[in-house]
Amino acid sequence: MEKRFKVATPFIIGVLLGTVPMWSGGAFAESSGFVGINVEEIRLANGFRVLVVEDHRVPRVAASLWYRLGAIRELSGEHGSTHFLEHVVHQGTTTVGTRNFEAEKPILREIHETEQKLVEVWNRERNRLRERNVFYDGLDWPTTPEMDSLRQRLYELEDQDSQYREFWAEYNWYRRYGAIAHADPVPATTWKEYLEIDIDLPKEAIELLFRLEADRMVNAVLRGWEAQRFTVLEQILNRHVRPETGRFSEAIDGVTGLAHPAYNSAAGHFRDFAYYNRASMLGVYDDYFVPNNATLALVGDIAPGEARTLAERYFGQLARGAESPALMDVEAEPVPGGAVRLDWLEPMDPRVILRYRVPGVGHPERPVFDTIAALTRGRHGLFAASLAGKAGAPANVDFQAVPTRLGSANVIDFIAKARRDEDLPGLEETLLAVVDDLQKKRIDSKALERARKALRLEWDRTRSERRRLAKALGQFQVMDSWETLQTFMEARLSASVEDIQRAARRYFVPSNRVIVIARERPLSHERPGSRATTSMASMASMEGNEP
Amino acid sequence: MKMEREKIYRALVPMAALTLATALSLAGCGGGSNGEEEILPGRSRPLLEHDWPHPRDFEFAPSTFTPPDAAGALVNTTTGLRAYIIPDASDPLVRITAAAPLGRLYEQSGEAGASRLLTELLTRHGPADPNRPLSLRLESLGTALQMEEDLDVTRISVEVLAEDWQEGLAVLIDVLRRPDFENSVLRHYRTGPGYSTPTSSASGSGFQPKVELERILAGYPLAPADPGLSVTGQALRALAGRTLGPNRVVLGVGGNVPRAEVEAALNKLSEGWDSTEEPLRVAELTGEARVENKLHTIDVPSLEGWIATGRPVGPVPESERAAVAVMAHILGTRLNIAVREIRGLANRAVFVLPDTASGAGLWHVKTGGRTEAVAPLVKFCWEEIEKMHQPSDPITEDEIEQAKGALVSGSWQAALDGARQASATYAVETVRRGALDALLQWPEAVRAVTVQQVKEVAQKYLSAEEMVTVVVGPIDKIREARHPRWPVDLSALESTPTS
Repeated sequence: MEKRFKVATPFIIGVLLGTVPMWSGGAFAESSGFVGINVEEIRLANGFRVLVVEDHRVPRVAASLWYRLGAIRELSGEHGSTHFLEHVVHQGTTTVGTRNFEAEKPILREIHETEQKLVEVWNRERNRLRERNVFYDGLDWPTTPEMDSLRQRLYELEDQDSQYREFWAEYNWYRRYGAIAHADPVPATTWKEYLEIDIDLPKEAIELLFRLEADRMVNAVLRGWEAQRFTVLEQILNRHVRPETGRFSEAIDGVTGLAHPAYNSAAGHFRDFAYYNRASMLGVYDDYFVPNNATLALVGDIAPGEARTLAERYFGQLARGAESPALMDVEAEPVPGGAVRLDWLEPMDPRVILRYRVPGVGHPERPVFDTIAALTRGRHGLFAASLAGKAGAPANVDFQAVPTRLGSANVIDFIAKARRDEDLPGLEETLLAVVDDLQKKRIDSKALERARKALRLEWDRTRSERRRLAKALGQFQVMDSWETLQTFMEARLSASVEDIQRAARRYFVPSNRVIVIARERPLSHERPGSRATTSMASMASMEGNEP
Repeated sequence: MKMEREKIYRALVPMAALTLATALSLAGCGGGSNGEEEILPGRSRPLLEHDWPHPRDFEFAPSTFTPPDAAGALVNTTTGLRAYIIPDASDPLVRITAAAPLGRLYEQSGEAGASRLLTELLTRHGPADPNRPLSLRLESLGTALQMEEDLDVTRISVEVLAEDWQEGLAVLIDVLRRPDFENSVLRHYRTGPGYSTPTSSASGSGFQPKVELERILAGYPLAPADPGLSVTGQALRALAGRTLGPNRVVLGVGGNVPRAEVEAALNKLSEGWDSTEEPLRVAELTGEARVENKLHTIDVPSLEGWIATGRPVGPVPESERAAVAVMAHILGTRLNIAVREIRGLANRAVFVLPDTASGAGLWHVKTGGRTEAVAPLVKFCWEEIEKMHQPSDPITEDEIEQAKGALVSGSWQAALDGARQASATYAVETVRRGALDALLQWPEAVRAVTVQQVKEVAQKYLSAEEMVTVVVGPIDKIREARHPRWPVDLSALESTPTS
């Protein structure tokens, strides 16, 4: 109560003064206990939000710009389109990345008109183009000669436009002025709820970020669309080669929630790439790339006054947009009938996954799942401890526990990765037995102590590294509020055995559960494609592992 | 009457304005130059006309970044163990890094694969102590070991809360001092393929085409040891004896630590740790290559098409290093624009220079894509490399300045960003190159690079004719596939002669 009051008073004063000072505590001054951070919030008249944390140890500033949109708003047929948009808004603006924008205009007009014709043909031919096959075959996009001709014209037009382009313009300017950014020329990430751009610049050059990102917010020109279509598709194909990030994880998500977009792939489906069109993406761009849907977190050698001046100079000139559509920010329906078991029938490293749906960030019970994850995973967490000393227990099991962090539907996955298929039934029992322990407060105090230490270290790492902190502030803003961040971290650290028990009893129930089994030698009588089987077998014998 | 006319006029004016606005918006691109709001086709929001400076017109003050004082940070213990201690009272954490001269280039005859196994034993199994296994000590600190192995240096690091720095230091030194050679892992260990399976992206060192390229061009030790080899305990002990002594390892300790106490702790923890006098011999990478075919294919049907194109290069004179780095940055940019931005053939093309003390190693491009994209990827990568090799290639001042900014204000500052990072970088650099001069003088060296110097190193080292390519993937499908816009036949590329 006292802590709340101390936080609340400066908050109220700050509101009256027009800024909202943070929790006091001194920047990183104390080395023990849980310490706050100082965040200054700046709101412009158009709704643009800037969060500033001063850290003068190094003359650099980490900037993390968050837009509140993501895969969760995508409808069927356009999965992955937000990620695609992330790429195509990084192709320059009306003033950057072009040698002659006036010369581009007629080409851009013709591109728009040609694409409109393509869409019209598509709609007209919708019965002929209906996909009736069962087995997907590469990039077998449905088409007609007329559509091919229009697509060819689009390629030609983009080639024409290329002569006026300066490729990688924004990225090159960032690098020239000393940015530490993604290795990717699109220094951004898109996920279920956000599109985030992050750049770390020398403090002397921070104005560059304001100049480029404010311009991108309103004046982006979606150049090189067709090339980007294939570039982004290539990223998706990369992910799908790894089962953890590809079809396996999609399958698990698919049975977790009934057709809720929180469980759809942010990367997208191959088929949908054929349907993306510029016009629809420009609609999304105009709806969501508005100052009142954006938060810029700045952590580093910058004072709030300087940040305000730059924000007003650049972002302040942008008109406030209509409030971006909330769309599917709703609770996911549970799968009817309760517990679901998924047996994956392609060869994979043996594992058991026990999944439960848990509340989103902003819900008061969400933090305790971070505690439960830290408590159960690792070589000395509760899962491993329950096996220790047991005769015949499998060796070298890798226990993981991973809660997602979203403002809406979350899950927690308890994972046991085994060496052998034969160990899986016992591991499934182990996972369920530990869940039972959590529900009955059979929790080793030393394990809980270790878990808390790991959580403290993780938070201290976040708050002491400017890029991590900038990202964390922005992410919490899109999930709930940046002000939630510290209370979230405090709550998970102070979660008691009773809190854990309460959460386990409420959420770790059969009707809220998915069990997933993957085997090196799946249960099917027919062996799946021999190549995968061969490569798995080869890997087992060549990795220098124990027999 | 007058009022009625007024009314009509007032009604007509807004209608005219509305008509005009409608006409302008329907035109799609009109109006901007007349002061009207301009809306691009497909958009609903108008563009923002502004007078903001173009990025090229910015004149920012020079960066005030200064790396932590290395000379002042260095301590030498009585046992010969050296450490860079960089305190930062505002940091809630401490990072402790151990850099050791451990890697394939330090393996001697009969020791192939030993450095990899040794690193695994150190970091996964730790000292033999059933009462206090390494894993429990680390989990009690809420942390884990991080390990990175290069050809000529291995770094092991741990991050702990500031209050736990003593135990963190003790754990790391214990790991180095008391490797468990009796572990049963040793008996069953066999060297692996040298790459990650499956290869899912072009990032990381475990990239199959690159490893296969190393094997084809030069073999071990440029390439990993052949798969399936065992490593004897004797080999392991010999390597450890040479590389893990206190006079060989260098530590970095950065964060919220009291320097004097750390120094005292180091002296105490290293008591009785014997130095080694056995000479450290580093295998020489000469840059010679066995080149028979320019393009090699390896059939792995479950993958996409992954590509590595490169050549081994011998030691690079110090005087050329900065120009080489600038050249590599420019080439990397050009490759990506050619294959990704213009043609959408790949997600990324990465040009990699080796990170070794001498600069020797494999220079290579890593990329990959769909079956129909593989052959054009190979072709366009070769073209960009060859283009840069030509004396007539116009390397621009813009390209040079971009590279310099990225190398100095970007990656160099990143390597020395804060106490934790700087202490680790100093430790690694000291083990690798014996001193920090080159590191600390890097910005000056890079800023002095000229267009002419970049051209010279490009002509000296970059020649598509001398590059060999390895393609890993579903080779039959790759051969059959033709890209609809850039149809290139892989077989035609295979018949291209080597130099």
